[in-house]
Amino acid sequence: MRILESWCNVNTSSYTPSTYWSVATWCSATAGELKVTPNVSNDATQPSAFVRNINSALRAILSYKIDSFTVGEILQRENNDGSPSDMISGIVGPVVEEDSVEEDSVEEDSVEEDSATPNQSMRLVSFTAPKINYQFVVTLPEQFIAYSLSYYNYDYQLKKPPGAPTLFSEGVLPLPESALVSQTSENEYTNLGIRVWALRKSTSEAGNTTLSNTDNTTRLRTRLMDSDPYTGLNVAVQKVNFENMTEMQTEMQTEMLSIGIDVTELQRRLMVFA
Amino acid sequence: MASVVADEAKSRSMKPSVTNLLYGSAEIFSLLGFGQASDKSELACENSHVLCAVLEDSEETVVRLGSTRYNSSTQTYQMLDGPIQISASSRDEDGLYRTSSGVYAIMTESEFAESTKLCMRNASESSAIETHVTHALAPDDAFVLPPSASLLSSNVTQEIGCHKHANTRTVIVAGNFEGDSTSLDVVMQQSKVAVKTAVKHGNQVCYAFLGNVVPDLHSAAQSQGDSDSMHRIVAMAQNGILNEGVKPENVTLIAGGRELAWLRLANTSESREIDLISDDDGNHGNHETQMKTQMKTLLEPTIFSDSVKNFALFNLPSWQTHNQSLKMLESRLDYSCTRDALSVLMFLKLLSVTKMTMNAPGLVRAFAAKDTKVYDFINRIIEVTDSVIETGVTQLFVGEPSFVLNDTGVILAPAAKEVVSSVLKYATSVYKEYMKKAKIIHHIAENDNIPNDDGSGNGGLWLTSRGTNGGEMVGKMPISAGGDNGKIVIAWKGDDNHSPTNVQWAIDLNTMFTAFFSSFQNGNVNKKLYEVFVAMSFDAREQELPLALLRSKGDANSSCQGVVAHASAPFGTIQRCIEVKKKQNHTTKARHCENPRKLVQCEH
Repeated sequence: MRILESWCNVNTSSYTPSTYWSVATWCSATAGELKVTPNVSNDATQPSAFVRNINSALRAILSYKIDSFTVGEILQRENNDGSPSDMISGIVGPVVEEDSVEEDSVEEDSVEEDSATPNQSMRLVSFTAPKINYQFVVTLPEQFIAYSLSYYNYDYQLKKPPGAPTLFSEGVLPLPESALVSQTSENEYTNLGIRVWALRKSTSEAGNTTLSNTDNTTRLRTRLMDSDPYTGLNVAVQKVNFENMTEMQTEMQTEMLSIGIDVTELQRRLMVFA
Repeated sequence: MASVVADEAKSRSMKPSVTNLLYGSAEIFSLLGFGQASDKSELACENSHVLCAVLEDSEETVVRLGSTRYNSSTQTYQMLDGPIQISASSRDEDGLYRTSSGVYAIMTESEFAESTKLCMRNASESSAIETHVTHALAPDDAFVLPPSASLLSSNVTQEIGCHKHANTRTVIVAGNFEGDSTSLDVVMQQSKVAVKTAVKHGNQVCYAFLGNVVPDLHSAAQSQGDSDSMHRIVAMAQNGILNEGVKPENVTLIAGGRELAWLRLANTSESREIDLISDDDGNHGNHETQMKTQMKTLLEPTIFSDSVKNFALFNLPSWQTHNQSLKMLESRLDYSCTRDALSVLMFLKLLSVTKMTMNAPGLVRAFAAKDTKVYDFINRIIEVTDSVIETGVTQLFVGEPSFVLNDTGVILAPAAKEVVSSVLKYATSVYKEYMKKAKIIHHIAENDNIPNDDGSGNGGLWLTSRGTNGGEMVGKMPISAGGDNGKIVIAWKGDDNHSPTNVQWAIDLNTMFTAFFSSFQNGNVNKKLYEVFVAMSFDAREQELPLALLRSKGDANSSCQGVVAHASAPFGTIQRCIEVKKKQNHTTKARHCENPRKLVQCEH
């Protein structure tokens, strides 16, 4: 394997006040000082244990209402040209550590110290579909991402082209409380929790948005570097093959029926990372 | 966490039968001063180390297994090219790690090399013992690990960085502020950590802005006086960034889509679409001539109107609506129209141009924001008219056929004139200064000793706002733009002799743009290039591979890195295009990223 091209995208203008920038350095000492290593819990918890909460979060996306229709219903519509309806897809973003949350913006109960729970890193993943003018930002446990996408866990540090700069992507992602779609009630695996925010693509007609206008928010300060194997991966939601899926799928099918999703379609395009 | 383990590495690792008879580990460690680490921080080095197996023979033979890296969170050494994981707590007093699978030693590359030399010297000096020395297994790939901190030192060593005269660069890249000064503040404040680190290590700090900084979507309430993002960035480009010690020449400006679209507002030639309606007849003193000129500007259609007959077929239906509205004005406009009425009509045209043909519906609001009362009033007008000229005429004028302002129109006239004036003044001042220094695409080398015109571009950093159109433009110069097969396309002409390398091509393209803008700002417009650069502002921005074909020509092993602003997402990302070899046939290469559809499914 070798890297042909790598690039950092700093454009977050449609989702301001989110602000990102890139640092590129050829100095190994500077890169070494700035580098980040995700804190992946080494406990014996199987990723399947996360699935229930993750399903819950992703279900929340499908049942989110936009102009009287749920996202699931919008996705089911055929396109004007008769082509099949769209799938929801996502892009893997930066890692969020406990200290990524800026102190003045955090709800107290969401960061209560619990010595019994590991300080697990979370990964931001953003989902959307062509017909939807929203990005759904989800925090997922890094351990789950590492498990689900282990096939892509290349060691990019070793494969770095000679003489190439080290790239970093840094920024601040304010997530307003008003955009919070779902939050797992149990902070079983992480103090940050699995949550979903619905961020509407902004235009000037929707009014000005700046950082100062977002007081009631969780502000995440993130930094990732080009050795991170998962950043930038495009992901889709697919059927999962964990052992306990049968029971879980039954539950989900029942719920999906109640919100108007075709169960046979569900089998094809469901929901959780494979 | 699962890790990818190369099959080759698996097959060659963990084979103690490959006995390199080196020396006893206790002897090596004592010679190298290997003692008990005083505390765990001595072990918490995140660089790679050599992992060796210590055989349980009489000599305690050491065999290199591969590389390992310390994971500070789990306090384990994880083998990089194999499955072995060793807990730091398994370290015994003699410095060896004893686990259920065997006894291991962990050392730096230099220590390992030193010990190998030592062993060979000992072996050659000892004629009584017959030894068979073989080379340690090479790492999986041909790369050189950076110097790593010695495990033996009682002080944790630090990398000292690049010396002052090396001029090694560290570049901070941002963009797409859309006029928002607050976001620029965040970048300048928060990037100080990186800047301080770079300065500490003797780096040359550079800043680059990828464009789309002109007041537009998000500046309505923030752009006061000279505080919008473009004003401040122009000041940085002219004066440097004093606090960070960044010189003006180390501030790079890229023209983004919004800046290129603004060429239409900055156009002062006969083909200009927006102009300020003057209060008098000017130096000529001829009312009719003056009115005729201003009416011509008012009725001037969009660019491409002579080459694209039906904008609707080119996915630009709003352009067609805009031009049809101008046709309506033409049918009713005459010399009896007052200057105030013309000013209001020009304001309505500006609203229509920005919303319907520049995808910048917030632009007028941004410039009305300087005065709160004007802003509220203009805002109401924008809401009422929906930026459609016909609706504005209905709301602000008294019946047909001539254009006579109603009461609302009369009140609006001074504010309308002020807003148009502000936009045009901006276009001929701050915007002009930005564009004089702006580039379309730029390549930054590691330091000054690697001149940009020296060739390959390998190891450099590409900066581009819009990408390379799937590589279509790389190595070529624009000739013209126009309608083709339902799209507005730019015609590119290749000339390998003129631009033998991609870096040289970028320089040539930027030179062409600078020359174009230099004459453009004086009112001499090269129509073809004008259309080309405006077309660049609205073609597809979301490209799967924004750096396509920027890898150096003729070098199969080249790669390229860059920073782009081609697609908007809630957070910044780093993406890659990689090449993998199929396992069943090592000579066949498969590009995961070639097919955009597959790209979405399985790779970056």
